[in-house]
Amino acid sequence: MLRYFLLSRAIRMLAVFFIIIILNFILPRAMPGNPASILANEYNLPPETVKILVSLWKLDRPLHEQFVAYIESLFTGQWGYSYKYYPRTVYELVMERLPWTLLLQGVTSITVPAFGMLMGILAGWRRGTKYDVAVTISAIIVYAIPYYWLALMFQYVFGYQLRIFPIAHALTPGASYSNFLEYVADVLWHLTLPVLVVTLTAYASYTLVTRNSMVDILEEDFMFVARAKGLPERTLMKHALRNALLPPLTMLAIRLGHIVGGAVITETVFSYPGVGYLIYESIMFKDYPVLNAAFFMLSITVIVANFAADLLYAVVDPRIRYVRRG
Amino acid sequence: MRSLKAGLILPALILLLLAFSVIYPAWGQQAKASSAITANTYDKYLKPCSCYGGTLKLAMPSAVTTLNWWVAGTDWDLIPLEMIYDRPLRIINGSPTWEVATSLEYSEDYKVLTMKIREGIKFHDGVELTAEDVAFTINVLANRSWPYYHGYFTSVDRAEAVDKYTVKIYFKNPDAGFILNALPVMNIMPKHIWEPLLQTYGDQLAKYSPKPEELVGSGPFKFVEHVSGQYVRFVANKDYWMGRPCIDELILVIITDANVAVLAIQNGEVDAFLWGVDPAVAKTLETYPNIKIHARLSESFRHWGLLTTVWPLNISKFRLALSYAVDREVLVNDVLLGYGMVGSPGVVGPFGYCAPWYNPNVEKLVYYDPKKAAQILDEIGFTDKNGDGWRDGPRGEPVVIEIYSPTPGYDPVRARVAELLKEFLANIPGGGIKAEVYYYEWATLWPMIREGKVMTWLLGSGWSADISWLYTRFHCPPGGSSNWAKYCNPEVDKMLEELRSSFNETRRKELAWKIQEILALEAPVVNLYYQAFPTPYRTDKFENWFITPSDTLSNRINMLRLSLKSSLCPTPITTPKPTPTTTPSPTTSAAPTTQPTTSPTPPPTPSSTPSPTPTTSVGGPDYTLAVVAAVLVVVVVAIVLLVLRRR
Amino acid sequence: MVSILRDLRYILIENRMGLIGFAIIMFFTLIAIFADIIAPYNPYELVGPPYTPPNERFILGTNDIGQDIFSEFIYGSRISLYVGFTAPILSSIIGTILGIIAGYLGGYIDELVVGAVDVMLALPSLPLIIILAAYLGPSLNNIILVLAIFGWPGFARMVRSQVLSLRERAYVEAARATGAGSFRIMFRHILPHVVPLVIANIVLSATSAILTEAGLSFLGLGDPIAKSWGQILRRAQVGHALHQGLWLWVFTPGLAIALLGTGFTLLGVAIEEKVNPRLKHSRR
Repeated sequence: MLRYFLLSRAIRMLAVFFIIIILNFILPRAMPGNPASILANEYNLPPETVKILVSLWKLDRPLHEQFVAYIESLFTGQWGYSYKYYPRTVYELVMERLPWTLLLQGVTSITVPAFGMLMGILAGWRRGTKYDVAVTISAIIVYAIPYYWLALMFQYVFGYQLRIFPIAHALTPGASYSNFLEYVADVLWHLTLPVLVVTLTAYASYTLVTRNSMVDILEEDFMFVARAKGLPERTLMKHALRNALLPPLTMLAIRLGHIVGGAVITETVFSYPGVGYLIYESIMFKDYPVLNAAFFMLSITVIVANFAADLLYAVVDPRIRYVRRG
Repeated sequence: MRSLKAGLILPALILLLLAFSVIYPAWGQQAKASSAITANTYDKYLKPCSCYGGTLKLAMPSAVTTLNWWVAGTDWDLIPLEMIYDRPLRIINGSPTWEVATSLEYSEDYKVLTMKIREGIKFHDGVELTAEDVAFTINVLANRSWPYYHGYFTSVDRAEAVDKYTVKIYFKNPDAGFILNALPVMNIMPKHIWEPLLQTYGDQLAKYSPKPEELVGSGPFKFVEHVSGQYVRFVANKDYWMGRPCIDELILVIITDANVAVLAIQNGEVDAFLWGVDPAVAKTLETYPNIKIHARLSESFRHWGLLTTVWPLNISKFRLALSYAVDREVLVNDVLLGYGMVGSPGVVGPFGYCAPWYNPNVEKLVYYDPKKAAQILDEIGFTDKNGDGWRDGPRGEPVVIEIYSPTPGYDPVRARVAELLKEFLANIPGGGIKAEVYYYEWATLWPMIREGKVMTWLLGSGWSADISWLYTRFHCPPGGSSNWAKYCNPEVDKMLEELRSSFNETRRKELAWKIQEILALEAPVVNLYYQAFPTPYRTDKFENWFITPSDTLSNRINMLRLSLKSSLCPTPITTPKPTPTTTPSPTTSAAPTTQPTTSPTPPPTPSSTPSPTPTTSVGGPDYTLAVVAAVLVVVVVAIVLLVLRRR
Repeated sequence: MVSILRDLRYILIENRMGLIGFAIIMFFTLIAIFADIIAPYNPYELVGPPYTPPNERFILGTNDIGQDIFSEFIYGSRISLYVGFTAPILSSIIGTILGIIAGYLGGYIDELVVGAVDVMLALPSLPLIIILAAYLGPSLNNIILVLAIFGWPGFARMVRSQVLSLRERAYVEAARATGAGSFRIMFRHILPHVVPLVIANIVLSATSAILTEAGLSFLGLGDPIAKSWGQILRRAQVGHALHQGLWLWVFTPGLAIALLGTGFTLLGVAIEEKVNPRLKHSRR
């Protein structure tokens, strides 16, 4: 059964991968606006230079030639040159931005589920109490808050009014550091607002899922039996947790796949120099090579994470070993 | 100090020599040659330093993408490189100024240009800058297709170093715009560094990133480091041939977020911006005690383009009527909040590069007068025929002018201008002209304008130093490569061609004036305004700001002569020589002993300069916000309680 | 009929969550309907100087080109509600039809639909939504289309699993025995039984539709001249509203998005509690 399951998932993965590659190629090219002419306008390039750029970027070649070049470059890791940051390579740009995204998303990938699951566990454990209702209702409200809006309001309060946190960027502009500790302090200082905002707005779904799964488990027969046997609360809690944390953990696995993609709006609001902001810039600028590379990367991470989540489910949850869903 | 004096004396000496050479018969060949070019000298601008030392921090809004000058194209690549290189000529306050070159002379047939250069200039690595370096730079720009400024050098055949300090430039065909267009943008690159690289990499040099030790020039600053996305750091070249810069260190700080940048200048973390802020933001910044705004006019004209090939815009009288109907004053005052200048109907502006060519008469020719607009429209038969309040065509055809603008989110200024233009047209007495505003994403709209797919549009177009730029904008296509209005007038074409080939300055000026008059009356574009970019700078730390209408804050004079204020000066200049009028008081020696060069915030000032406490709504806690927050909390709690009651 | 009324009574009156959600939605619906009367100005007209701080003429001030923000805000409710309803309804229609067909007919069609659903659910939705919105061009209907494209698989999966269990029910067997065609069975006998669950999910996904539309508009991928709340936020951000202390410009539209979203979620949860027996039990 497990083998069949893995096989079907692998086939699905390939299909998704194929779709991504095709979309990745077609979509950016179908966008309106010729990047060479955009460059020419932004920077007052002489027309001769524009012609050269067009031939350099193969914009004047037929589509199928562009496609061949695309596939080739995809697998040789040569993602070409950015239009906006020419003559820098896409690879260089992405690698320069990636650490910031990994940092921001890494931290929130811990704080968000930790906070969310804690709230959910407590609410589920005391199900039906006022505490449970309060947590649930506030999670529903928080779920509907646009986080860029909360980010803007936090920027206003903490950045403009109280002036205790920087409103954007990952480092103090132009700062030079005398030692590593100073550098770390500056990074953390700039990280505070984004992490706070993301945590305060994204925890809700974890809370709701954890709470519901807690409630489900606590009302299973075996829990009643355990309670009737007079097992101490602590042991009961342990049993419940072991089973109840599976759904939120799966959510976490899937979330890890969205590390880069989920960063677009956050990084844009905070001008955080990560890949998400790079994607935003390249959409605004029609920077095809960067878009191609970024979406390729995004898709790979998402696909792999989804597969990991499936595996996690298959390995940990005996009930799903494995009948097809539905 | 010695080099400073040399800087003052050298130009004078060379001028003398020049004058002498014209008279002296041994130089007969040149004396016969038709025209020597005149330009300003630096001593006109250079004041002595009032202090040596300090770190100047200038904010840039965008990352540096390359430090390879051959291919650098954006301002944010060019500005850092400008600090380390010198140019033959430089345009300061709209007029050319000798820098490395000391004289320029054309041969009789204008096919050879002889350039003499200053002696004794050294690159940062000690090698002397000679005619070989200049010739090498010109040859690369002319013979390779990938350099950014190649377009200005296409008329050049080759350049040769005749002797150590003389370069001859040979042209394929005479190019009247060459001196003003090409030489003031050309950084002189050291041949001993770039020739080996060119041999190694060939045309792949276009993608080459120079190593720090290869970033060697002869300019006032030496390159230290570039931390990607963070800053570019320079130290002063203390042996600079024009005299050392007054400051010790220069940091170009990269701040991509506009709001962060504004906070940084409020807090004194940077001393000036290198780009303009939003007019509304400038208004709030103006209220800070130590911040001033330099409204820098951009070398461009912002206009309402009219596609002259579609009815009714193919009727030149109709276009003229539109030009009469537009109140340019309102646009400058209400939209630009005063940061700008009313556009001349003849397009050419009275400042910067264009100042010598500007024809003041055109503003008496065409001006804001809606009655006149109505009169013209009546004459050509555009009257309200069906009584709906809008004018129709001569045969009763409906008239709707489509105005295409970038979206308000991309450019609020143009969006507002579009709405106001619509109002102006509606307000023409005796029946308005109906207009519709269409918003497009700029990336989408721009190709549509270029391909002639939109009826009218709002656009800013730059101009070059030489007036021959009018050719690309108003000559009949395809000659006029950026003539988006598709305007064709054989008379104008002939004049534009002559403007491009003539070297007779009086004739050229005559032509330029005549063209402006025709453009005003035929209105292929309705020139609206010259936009000024409000650029903030701080006045509490550095002095000697050199501000002109069209120069940026990073102009060469500022870079050489900005000095720390004497109250902040670590090593005041105590020479008995003709120094600044301020008497060096003994108390200044008690000035901060800490090195101000590394501190990111302004050092504590012993003087009574008030700290930058904001006075506008930005400062101080906003109590309404607290009240609203409190109300919000109460409401949420109430909702929760309401739900709880059920249980 | 009576049971529907009883359900409604439960959802809207006995369950306070449903009541509050319904009240919020009604509040904004009324604003949207009577926008012409409530709004003091035409939101497209330049009625004052740009960046006017709030005063008695302009309750929330004017924006970067001099339009009244309060009027923009009032008209913005129309767009949020429009998106909040149409996008999920569109995806529910596609999803329900495919789900019923797949679940009832089974076989290759089922394989096909399940495969498509699986693939769709595995696609990186947010980045793809962003790039699709960028590609299709900035218009409201394109955003709705994109939301529908990514919304239907959820509905299809849910409906299919419902149909799988309904298919074996006695009354469906009976219908089949009397010779009713597949089409008739699917849409006369099975459809009515999945509709309540579908409705609950429509209301629940309205929240994410509203949020996504606002987010795309905020990123500059929305209709640039539509007066949506996300667009107001973007203009405030581009126009440096916070720097000038014009925080109400940012605060109001965001609060409205959060409120309306909460309203839809509360109502959705209330409906789901009623129609999904599994949840009713666990939620007590």
